[in-house]
Amino acid sequence: MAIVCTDVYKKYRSHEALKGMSFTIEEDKITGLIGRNGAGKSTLLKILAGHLRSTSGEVLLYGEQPFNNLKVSSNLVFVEDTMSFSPIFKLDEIFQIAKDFYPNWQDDLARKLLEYADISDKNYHHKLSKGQKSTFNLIYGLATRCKITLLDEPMNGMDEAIRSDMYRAILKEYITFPRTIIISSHHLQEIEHLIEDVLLINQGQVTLHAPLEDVKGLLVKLVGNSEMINEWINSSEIYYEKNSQINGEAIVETTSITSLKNELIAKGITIQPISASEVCKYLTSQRKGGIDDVFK
Amino acid sequence: MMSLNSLTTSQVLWKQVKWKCKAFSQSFITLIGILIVIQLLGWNGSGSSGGGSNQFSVYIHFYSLDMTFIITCIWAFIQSLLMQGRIQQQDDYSIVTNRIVCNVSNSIVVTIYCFIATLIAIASFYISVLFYRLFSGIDLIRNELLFNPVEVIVTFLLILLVAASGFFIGSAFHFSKMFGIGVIVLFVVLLNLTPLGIANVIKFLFNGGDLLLMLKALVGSILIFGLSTLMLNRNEVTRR
Amino acid sequence: MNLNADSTVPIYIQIAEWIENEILADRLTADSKVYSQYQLAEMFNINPATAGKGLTILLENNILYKRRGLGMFVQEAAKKQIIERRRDEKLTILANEIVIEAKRLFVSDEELIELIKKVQKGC
Repeated sequence: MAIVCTDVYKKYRSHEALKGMSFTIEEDKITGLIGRNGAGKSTLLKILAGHLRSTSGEVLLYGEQPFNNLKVSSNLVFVEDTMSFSPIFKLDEIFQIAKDFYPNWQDDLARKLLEYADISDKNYHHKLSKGQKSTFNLIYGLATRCKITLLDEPMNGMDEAIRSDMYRAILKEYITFPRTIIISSHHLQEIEHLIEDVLLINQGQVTLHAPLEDVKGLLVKLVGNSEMINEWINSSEIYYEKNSQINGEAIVETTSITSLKNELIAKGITIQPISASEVCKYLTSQRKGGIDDVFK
Repeated sequence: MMSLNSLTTSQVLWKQVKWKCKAFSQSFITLIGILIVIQLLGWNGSGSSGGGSNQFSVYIHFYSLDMTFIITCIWAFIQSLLMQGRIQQQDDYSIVTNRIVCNVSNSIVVTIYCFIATLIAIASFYISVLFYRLFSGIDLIRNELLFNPVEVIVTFLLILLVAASGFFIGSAFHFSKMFGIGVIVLFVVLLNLTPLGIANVIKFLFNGGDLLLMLKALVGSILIFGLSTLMLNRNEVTRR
Repeated sequence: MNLNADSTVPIYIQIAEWIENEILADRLTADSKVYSQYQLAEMFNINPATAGKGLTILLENNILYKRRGLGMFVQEAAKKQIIERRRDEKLTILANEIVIEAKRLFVSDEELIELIKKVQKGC
């Protein structure tokens, strides 16, 4: 097990960012860390990276706790928005520094990717635009070939055009040199094809940790007459419902309707699949009625 | 694990020192610049006296390195203060590091640049001698022909001590703004209000001759660097 | 071939189906080597584990067989098997749907069979 978290809490004076998170991540898997804004994604990654200390609980990366740990630091790279480098060195020199510290550093790849992204290596990190910074940080992170690579919303600020290229770069690098990657995002649909597992967190806790296909198949949408739907489904199993004049909708667990499939279809209720992204949304939402509730 | 990187602590430490020194080289230009300006403006702590009688007159000008020394001290103080700042330290997290290595390498870098600054300060004396010779045809007479190594070491260690204090204050601010302000207030209070005034500190240092001074300064510096490292050992990396 | 990310069918099954299509079209013949999970991952821009799952499904269904250290190969009877299975599966599903729809529209059994015969003649 590359990463093991047991009952991790992170408390600040004003609030609790993480409330008893427990999960394990196997070596060399790409995991998508999904959650709404404020769910605790960045806090979790910062604790894994050794930037923050957990208030309580155990965090082990390859059997070692990450805070103030040189061994973990040499095998972990944390790519995020506020990643900074000494303003004295040019990007070119930053690569030289990386080469010195990371034995697996891919100099050639890094330079070629930078060229592809149209960023001059004679430039300075603090002078790059937001999108260029994100691109550079990601290239840097990939080129270090660290066994644990943490990417905190790495595509922030990047143009559409280069985004898909960068996703592909991550995939290709992963195939060439497998490593444990956690990529956090609040747009699951963008990274769906890349990840193997989903770690869905909400309000500082783990809601779900499962392979992507399992997440996708967890909930289904029933479309039809609302009364009919309610007749057949126990209301506690409904994650979301919308009653309108045209058609009622309800999101329910797939397991709760497997036996009722034929009856539902006979009553004119269609069963539609929903995307993994929507599943995550419904699993972490507060209200059953969605935004319409506010306008009631 | 076979494929895991493992750099030893000393390897990482010396790599950090190497790159941080490189990053530092620009600041020396600032120092040299200031020292040259000082020399040109004649603010080099010199004085003169003269006197004479009917047949001859004597003018004695004496030049000292006092001003140079003080400027270098101030420069060293500011540099090490900045070095321990929050923003500077975070750059380390993009490479391999842990807090001890980070602070120890910073301490070593401070020591190295204090030494180089000492050399620059002393060299500036020779340069001014040269200038005077070239431009005014005056030969400066010095106490000894060559440098007294003890003087060099004493100068170095004093500059180091000053830099170490800057380092400590910088670390204190990094640790927590309140603590940093507290330290400064404490310093000011201790120096001005209590019997432990600045005069006493200087007396303490300079009492007992050169060797003891060197020892005091050296031990003092090491203690201060050590304290700063300890203080920041459990520090979290917060919002930049 | 492009994967349909929005489809109801999970990606690994789409991969499996694509390989089956290749077998049906004789682009992959009996005992020939199929793409590895890494090659598939690169070709379709997906996670290798997902591609691997697709291959595993085919292995379990006896469409492919594994040779240690060499990779996955197409079974001899693969093509035949695929045709048979699809025939059963797909047509069964369609038949189900048409029967249900017919019931809903109050179409009798005989009328339904007539309709199917008409469509067959038309094709």
